[in-house]
Amino acid sequence: MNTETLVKKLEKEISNFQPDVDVTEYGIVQAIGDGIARVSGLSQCKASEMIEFQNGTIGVALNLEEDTVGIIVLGDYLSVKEGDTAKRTGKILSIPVGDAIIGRVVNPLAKAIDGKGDIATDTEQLIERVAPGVMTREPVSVPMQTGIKVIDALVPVGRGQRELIIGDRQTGKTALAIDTIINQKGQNMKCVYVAIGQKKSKVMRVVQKLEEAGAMDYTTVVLAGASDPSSLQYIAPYAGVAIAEYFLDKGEDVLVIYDDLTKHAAAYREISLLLRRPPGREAYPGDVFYLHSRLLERACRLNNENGGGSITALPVIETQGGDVSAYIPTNVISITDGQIFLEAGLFNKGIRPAINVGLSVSRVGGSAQAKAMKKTAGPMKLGLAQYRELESFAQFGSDLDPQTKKTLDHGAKSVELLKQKQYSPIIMSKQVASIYALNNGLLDSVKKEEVQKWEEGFYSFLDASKSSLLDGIASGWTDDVQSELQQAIKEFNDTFNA
Amino acid sequence: MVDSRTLARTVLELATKPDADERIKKFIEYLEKNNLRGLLPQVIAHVERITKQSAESNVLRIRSKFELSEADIQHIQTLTGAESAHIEQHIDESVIGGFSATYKGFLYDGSLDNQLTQFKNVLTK
Repeated sequence: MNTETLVKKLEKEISNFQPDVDVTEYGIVQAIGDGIARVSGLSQCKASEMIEFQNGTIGVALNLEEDTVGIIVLGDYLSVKEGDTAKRTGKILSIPVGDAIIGRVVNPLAKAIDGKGDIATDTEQLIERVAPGVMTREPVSVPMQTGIKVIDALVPVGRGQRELIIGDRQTGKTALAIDTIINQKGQNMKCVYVAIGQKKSKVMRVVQKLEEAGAMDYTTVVLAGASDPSSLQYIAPYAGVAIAEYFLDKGEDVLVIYDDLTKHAAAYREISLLLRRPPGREAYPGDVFYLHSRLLERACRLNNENGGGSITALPVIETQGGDVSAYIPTNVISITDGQIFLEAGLFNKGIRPAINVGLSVSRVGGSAQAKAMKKTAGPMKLGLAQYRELESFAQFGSDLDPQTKKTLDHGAKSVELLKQKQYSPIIMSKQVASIYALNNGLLDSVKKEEVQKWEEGFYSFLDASKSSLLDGIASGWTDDVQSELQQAIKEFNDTFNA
Repeated sequence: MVDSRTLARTVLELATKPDADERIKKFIEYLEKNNLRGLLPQVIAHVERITKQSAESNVLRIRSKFELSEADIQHIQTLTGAESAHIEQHIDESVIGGFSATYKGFLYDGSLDNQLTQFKNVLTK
């Protein structure tokens, strides 16, 4: 477009432009403190409506009272003063979203905070949206491969499922979540990682790791750090799911990780107390269950008439001293479709990921598991249960019968095989191959200490000479595939033992 | 349980009736009968606040860079529906052009700044 055309277009726009007087309802800030403003006036204000303060800061109306409106300030509340005006915007809290948000680190208002410039967005998405109804949904039937053997084999997660990651601090909860994101590469899945109340340095390390693994190509990070106001921490998971819903509406599959909801509940408690809502158990407000249930209900798998997309949710909960019976953990356990329980004791013993297989469950993931994995993982689950039972008794006596010794040896090898390094997800067919070897006694000749070495070698062997077999395992679990796999394991064992 | 705010609103409503004295007397009797006389100081405080608020709400405050003519003010009064309101005019250097007015909790922004924002929105849409 040349200058002349541009000038003509501008002239046309100016001549067509009819300025209008803007009419907005306004109120006066009566009190402000700790990120909460009380504003008089605004008699027509709606719940969750965005309010603009005199200095341009945005707030959200949470408490609609007789004379005042309780507003949480989303951002710099220190420059909002008593006596300032606060205008209604008429808009319910929403964030700008678009395809360009992928690969970016944003705050809960979807503003870029990664220094890579503004994000070009094409639509606005409501932060609070009613979860899809029953008739628009479909049962979970497609697996969401995490690339972590112990999860994919024993606690499988399906697309559209809500699986809780729960455990004490420093047990590897975030590591599990990050590994899962890394494994989504090439699996046609968008990822949203929501960091709530975390140290920004820790989140930046996570982003760096995701960039190194090439996972930022399909991931958005929503960050409400520990230094951000609790109002931003409160809306962060809703902003995350709003971004996910943008892609869901386009029929895509999305994985959302909320890291973590314990801090989210604490932020909401802070806001509620400042808003003078009545405190309940542990000073949490009465609607703290609804806080998380309405968030996690938005995870779904839609039927084909409604686009066929899905939102898989992996909320994270931090426990204190392994106590899963505390208020927030029990709430979230009851909302989700299962939990992955991480134990500090296992972590310290060197069993990583430190997943307690006995306490971890997946209520719907089984139906989404690939046939090969389902058939292979079944016996392993049983073997591990027997091992756990015998393990404690074995500590007291040395005279054990051969059958018990065999069970213990098999169990110990299972535990060894399920160990996995961080940032090294494994494809499903390789997982099946190694578990098949264990179940069928093909690891009997391998010492417990050498299981991991065997595993590494076996995967390299499969990559180098049996890639068609891996494809075969992924596409079906026929007798031919099984006998070919058995043959391959024997072939590898010969070289390994030699 | 009836609260002081509701009582204040009731008494203001009663004061608008033709036989206001009689009704307010009955209101006091009601308070005594129901052991609510102790709420009277709070009721009076609410009455004062509500009266002040309603008096303030009938003021049309206009901000502009220069003093406006009678015709301009009348035009703004018609625009805002504040024909019978008390007018307060403020000279505000930050308003580059046009005006901004407040009346009964609504902000009428006819400033140049707002018009430029509107034009920007048209161009960038």
